[in-house]
Amino acid sequence: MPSTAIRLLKLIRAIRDLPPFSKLVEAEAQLLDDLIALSHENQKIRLSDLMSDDRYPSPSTAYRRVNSLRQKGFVNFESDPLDRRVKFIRLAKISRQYVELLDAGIVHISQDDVSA
Amino acid sequence: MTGVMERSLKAILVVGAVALLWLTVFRFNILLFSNTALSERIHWIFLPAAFRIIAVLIYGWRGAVGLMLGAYLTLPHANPDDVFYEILLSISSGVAPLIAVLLCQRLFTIRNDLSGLNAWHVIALSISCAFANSIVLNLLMWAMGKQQNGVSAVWAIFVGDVLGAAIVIGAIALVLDIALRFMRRT
Repeated sequence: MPSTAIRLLKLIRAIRDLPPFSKLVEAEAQLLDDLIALSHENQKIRLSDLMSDDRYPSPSTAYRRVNSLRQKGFVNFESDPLDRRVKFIRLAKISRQYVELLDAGIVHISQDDVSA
Repeated sequence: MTGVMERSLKAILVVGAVALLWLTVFRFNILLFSNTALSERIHWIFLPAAFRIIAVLIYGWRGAVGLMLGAYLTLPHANPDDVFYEILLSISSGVAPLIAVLLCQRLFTIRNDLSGLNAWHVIALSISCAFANSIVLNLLMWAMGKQQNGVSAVWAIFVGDVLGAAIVIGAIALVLDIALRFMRRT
């Protein structure tokens, strides 16, 4: 008999996914992946640079997506201490944890390749 | 304590807890929505409907028995001639959601541990339980000569259950969303 706790967790997860409370839409997930890739290159990501990136249909679309990520808690905005008008996009704790997991996975796979 | 004794004790505890919770939520609903009542037991908004689905999904037949006991505890027991009717009413309160949940689990291939359950299934379950409850309850009332409001009663029970489930499950989703956003930021 499956435990009550397992059933409860699965029910909570299903309720959690009810619209409009669902997780990232595809465009937001893609943007988050791009931001994670840039963070790997140790690049500080300016909000204005993202908005002027040709990959997005318009600056307002880019802003809307990154703002949605911010509202969902995946990124934060940080002001440049030298110029408060300039904002940088910083990965939030959960995104950084995801990056760490990915890094650990990549190292593990690399070590397996070496030893094989 | 032997395994059988332990399982029996757990089952009794679950049934008791579900029954008490049902009674509490039922009284709470009367307190909040007495002005939406079509009759003494039929409300256009019925919050406990969500609890019906959750109890049966999490605890299966034990949840259904708890609902039966809880429903029995909410009845007035004013007329000795109505004992049989009240017992049938209580049984239907547990049987209807149990059948609806089992049918939906089979239809949507949701496993016993609720693997495969998604948000749309939760919505479908809410509507199915509301439909089953409305039909079974009204058929029972009609068969026992207790049907007073005709088609309005069928419709009111269905709408009340759907709205009640939507409000409660929506509130749970909102709280989870806020909690998760807060946890991601900290």
